[in-house]
Amino acid sequence: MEHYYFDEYSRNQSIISRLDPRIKIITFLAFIFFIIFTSAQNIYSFAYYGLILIMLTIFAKIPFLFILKRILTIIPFAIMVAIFMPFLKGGTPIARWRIAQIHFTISREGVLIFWNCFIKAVLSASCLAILGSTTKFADLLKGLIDLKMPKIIIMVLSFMYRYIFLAEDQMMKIKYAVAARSCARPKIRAFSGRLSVFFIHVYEKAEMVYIAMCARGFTGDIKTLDAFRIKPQDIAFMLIIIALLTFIKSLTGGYG
Amino acid sequence: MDKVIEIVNLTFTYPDGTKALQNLSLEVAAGESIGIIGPNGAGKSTLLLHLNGILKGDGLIKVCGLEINAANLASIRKKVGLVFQDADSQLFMPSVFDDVAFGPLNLDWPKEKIIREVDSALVQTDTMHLKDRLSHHLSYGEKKRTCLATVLAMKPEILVFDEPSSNLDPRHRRDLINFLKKINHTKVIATHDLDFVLQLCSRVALLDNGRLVLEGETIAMLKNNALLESHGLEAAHGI
Ligand SMILES: Nc1ncnc2c1ncn2[C@@H]1O[C@H](COP(=O)(O)OP(=O)(O)OP(=O)(O)O)[C@@H](O)[C@H]1O
Ligand SMILES: [Mg+2]
Repeated sequence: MEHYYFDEYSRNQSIISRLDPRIKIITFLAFIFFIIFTSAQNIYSFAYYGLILIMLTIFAKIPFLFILKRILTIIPFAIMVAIFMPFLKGGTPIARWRIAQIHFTISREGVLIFWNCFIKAVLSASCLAILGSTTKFADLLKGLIDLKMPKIIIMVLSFMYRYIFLAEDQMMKIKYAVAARSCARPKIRAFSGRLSVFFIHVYEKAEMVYIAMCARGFTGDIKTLDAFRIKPQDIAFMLIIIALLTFIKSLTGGYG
Repeated sequence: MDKVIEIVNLTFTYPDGTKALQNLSLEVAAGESIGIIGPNGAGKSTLLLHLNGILKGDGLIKVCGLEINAANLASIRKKVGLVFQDADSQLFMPSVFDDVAFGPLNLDWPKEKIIREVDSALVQTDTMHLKDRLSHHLSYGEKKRTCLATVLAMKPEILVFDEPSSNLDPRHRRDLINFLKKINHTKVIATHDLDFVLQLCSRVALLDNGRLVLEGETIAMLKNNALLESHGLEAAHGI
């Protein structure tokens, strides 16, 4: 069975994966703020941001394809939100045509809004992909707790992480069971039954796992073996990234 | 006799109406090893799940003199280490090491002690080489041993095992028996492996249909072929 891991490269001992999770969260959050508050016209800023992200990916020893896949999972949502903008937004028309009595006009302002959504989604998604894949999930949660994220959100995240694997394994088991007892008959009927069994199984399994956690003394606090201590290289990392971002900002000027 | 576990008139019905335990009473002394035997569906697992308050039936259960209730639950769970019949639901962390360390972390031990106890539990169950593997992608026997490790690492006073020898290969079954013989914890072992019971337990309780049929000294119980057969069991080879 193949699993999809958020924190696939958290154990690879790269410079980035060894950083204090809290520092990483803050730095990447700052990065995302810089991205969001850069105006869409500043194409060069986005290019520089991209360059920094590429460097970070190299330092983190993450294959580019991995980051690309992560971005591709988020992009459809951004595109869905922004795709109609070039048509709906009024302004200077840059293209216009007619299909079956309907006029389509693409405006310059609309395209800019689309670009704005698109590039910011791509860059922010890369930030999150680097952060998420280089930090052990438990450490990420612990870091968020230290940064005063509400406990309920932490709990939801931590259970989601556990149950995704359960759900995936369960689906695979049911698939095997169906395959073992069906000889190439149409699959549709089996599918609906499979889905309902799947939800019941996952529900019961999830409950058992919760019970098992309680049986081993879980009381709602997430604990990890590594106590975080901020090291000089953590501070250095944060300062370098933020200095770079500020520099880029001053080069290209103005908040958008 | 120092009673560590005291169960009086325990009755439990699952939400779907299945009467899994009926009026069951049982006592376990400190340092004693007791075997719980009985056919499929007898209620063994249901009984064990009561011992650290996972299920809550009618009747009285006391562990180390403490009645199981919300206030005592945390301290009882520290004392009672329960290994589930289904290893899959006991393992939930990303790696075997994390899984074994989960319990000790919740006990708030110092870091060195946690690492030491986790390592010793891994060695004890011969799972050291699996340390970095995904716990839910191990073989059944490896999972079972990992489950044992997760519980041993917490250093509980009372060990409660549901089918500990199922899925184990002969060598690891032998290792487990030798290990359990060595330690003088109180042990409650539910199993169909009567030879396992014979080697480890001084007393046996036979369950059927949610009721306690008979309890007694191991050899006498396991020699009683008529009794065993009428409850769907077979005498062990060693008898
Ligand atoms: N979650 C559940 N919901 C409803 N009924 C259950 C549930 N779990 C077990 N039962 C029923 O309770 C009874 C006792 O089950 P239990 O699992 O305790 O038996 P067991 O002695 O451990 O059997 P085995 O030897 O097969 O492990 C059985 O009749 C079983 O069908
Ligand atoms: Mg059972």
